[in-house]
Amino acid sequence: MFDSLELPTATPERAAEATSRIAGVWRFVRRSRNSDFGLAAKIGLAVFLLLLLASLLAPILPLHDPLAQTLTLRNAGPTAHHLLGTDLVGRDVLSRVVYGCRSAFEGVAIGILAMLALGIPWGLAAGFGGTVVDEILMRIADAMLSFPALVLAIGVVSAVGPSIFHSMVTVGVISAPVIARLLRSAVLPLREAQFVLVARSLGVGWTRAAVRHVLPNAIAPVIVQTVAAASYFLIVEAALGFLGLGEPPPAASWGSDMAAAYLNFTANPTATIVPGLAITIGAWSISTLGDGLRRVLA
Amino acid sequence: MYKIILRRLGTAIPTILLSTMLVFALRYLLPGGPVEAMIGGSGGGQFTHKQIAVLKARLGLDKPVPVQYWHWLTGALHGDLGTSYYSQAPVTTVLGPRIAPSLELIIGALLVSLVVGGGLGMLAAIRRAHTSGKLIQLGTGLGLAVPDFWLAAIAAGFLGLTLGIFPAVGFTPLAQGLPANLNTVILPILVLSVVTGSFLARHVSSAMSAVLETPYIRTAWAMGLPGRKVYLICALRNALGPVITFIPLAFAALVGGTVLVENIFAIPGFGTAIVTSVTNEDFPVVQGIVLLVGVLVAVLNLLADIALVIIDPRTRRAAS
Repeated sequence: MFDSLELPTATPERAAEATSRIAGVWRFVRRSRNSDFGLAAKIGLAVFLLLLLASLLAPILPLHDPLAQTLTLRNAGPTAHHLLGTDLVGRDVLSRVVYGCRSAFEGVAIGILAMLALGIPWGLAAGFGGTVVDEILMRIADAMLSFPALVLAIGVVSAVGPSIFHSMVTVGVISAPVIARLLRSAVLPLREAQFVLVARSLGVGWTRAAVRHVLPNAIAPVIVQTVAAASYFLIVEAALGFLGLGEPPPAASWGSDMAAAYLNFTANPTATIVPGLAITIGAWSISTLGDGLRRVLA
Repeated sequence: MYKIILRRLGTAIPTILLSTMLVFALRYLLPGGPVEAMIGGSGGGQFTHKQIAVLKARLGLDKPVPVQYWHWLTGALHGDLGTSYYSQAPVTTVLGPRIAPSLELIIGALLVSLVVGGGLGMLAAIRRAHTSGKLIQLGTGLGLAVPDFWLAAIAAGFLGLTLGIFPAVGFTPLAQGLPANLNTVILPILVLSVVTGSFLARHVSSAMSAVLETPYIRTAWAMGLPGRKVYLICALRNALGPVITFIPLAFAALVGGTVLVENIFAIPGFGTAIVTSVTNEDFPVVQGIVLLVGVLVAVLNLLADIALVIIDPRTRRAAS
C-alpha cells in the first residue's frame, strides 16, 4: 500500500497547512508572552536582536571605515566626530565595535553548527544504539568533557595554525558531548513511547523514526543548551582573539582590539572598556534569553 | 557503597585512557606530521628523505600508530612528555616550575568562589522573594557574562597602572614570603573568582531554593528551630551536592581563565607557557599542558563523584 504514496507537491491544501503551522508557532509565542519567559529574557532577546541587526547592517550604517587609520588622531577621547574615540592607530572605536560584532557572531555560528552537527547524531545514536554503543559513546563523551574548551582549542590551533574557523570548530566539537548527553537522556524514554511503536509498525525505519518522530519531541533541552552555549562561545571567541589566535590583526574583533588597547589603558581607557562591554552585553543578552527559554520549554 | 565506588573507578580508567588518546591524536593535525613540524620552518628543504627517515626511526614514528601511542603513553607515565622543539629541554623540565604559580591562582580562586559565591547563593535562596535576593541573581547573571580577561585588563590598567595600588604585572613566588606573594596574586585571584563565584552562587541558590520548599524544612520551622539551624544544618547539608559537582567544573573553567589572566598579569604559570609555545610553534609543550590539564580534570571528576557517594546516601540508592 505504501507504493501509492506520492512525493509532496505544492498544492493549495499544503500551503494552507504550512500557514496554519506558522499560526501555531505564533500562538505558542503569544501564549508564552504571559507565562514564565520573564522581563529579563525579553530585554535579553531585544538586545540580542539589536546586536544581530547591527552586525548585519554594519556596512550600510553611517560608520567610519573600521580599518581607516588617522595617525594624527591616535588614542583620542570621545568627540562628536568619533563618539567613542579612536584606538592607538587612530581607528574609530565605535565602528570597530560594531564590525567586531560580525566576527563574534560568525565565530558563535561556526561553533554552534559544529556542536549540533556532531552532538545531535551522537545523542541519537547513543539513545537508539543499544547498551554497548551507548556505553562506548558516553565514555567518549566523558573523556572529551575533561578538557577545558579554551585549552583544547589552543592545542588544536598550535597544530594547524591560528584561525577562527579551526578554533571555533574545536570549541564546538568539544562542547558536542553536552548536547549528546542531553539528547540521549531525552530520547531514552521516548524510544519506548507509543507513537514510536505506531510509526515502527507502519513500516518506518529506525533512522527515520529517530529523526522525524523522536527528535522533534526531544529537542527542547537541546535548544536551551544551545543558547547557553552561544553565550559561552561569544566569550571564547573574544578570548581566542585576545590571545592572538583568532582573526588576523587588521580585522575588527572584540578580543584582539582589546588586546591591542589594554597596554595603553592609562592613555585611553575607552578603547579597552568598550569592546569588553560589548562582549558582556552580548553574552548577558544571550544567556538571559536562554534562562527565559529554559523556563518556557523545560 | 564500596561496590559503587569500585564501579566508578572501573569506568574512570577507560575515560582517562580515551582522553590521553585524544591528546595523542593532536599530533596528526600537524601539517605534514610530527617530523615535518619538527624540522620545518627554519629550512625543512635542507633535509634529504634519508635523513627524515632516520629521524622518524629515531623517534619511533615508523612504527604502527598503536605502538606509537603505547610508547608515548608509557613515556608519559614515566614523566617523559617529549622534548621541546624550542628550548630542546625535556617538556617536564619546561613545565615543572610553571605548575605552582598556576595552581596557586586556581586554588585561591576556588576558595574565594566557594566562600563568597556559596554565601551569596545561600543568601539569594533565603531572600529569593525579596529585592536583595533578586539583586544577587542579577549580579551573578552579569558575573557570568563578564569576560574575565576584560576584568583583568581593567584591573591591571586601572588599579595597577593608573592608581598604582597593586603591581600591574609580575609575580613573586611564595618562597619569598607570603605578603609579597599575596600582593602579586590577589588581583588575578579576585578576577578569576568572579565567573566561578557567580556560577557557584547560581547552583547553590537553585539547589537551596528547591530544598527550602521541601516538607522537612517546613517541619523544622514548625518545630521552632532558629533560622541559622534550619539554613545551615538542614538546608545547606542537602544542597551540598551541587557544590561538590561544581569543583571539577570550576577547576576546568579556571584553567581556561588562568590562561588569559596569567598572560595579562605576566605570571609565569602554564597559561603563559601555552601561549608562548603556540607562538614559538613548540607543539610538544602545548601537548604536554593539554594532557596534564585533561587528566587532572578527569581525576577531579572521579573524586567528586566518590565524595558525592560518601556524603549523599540517595546517590547510593540511585546507582544500585
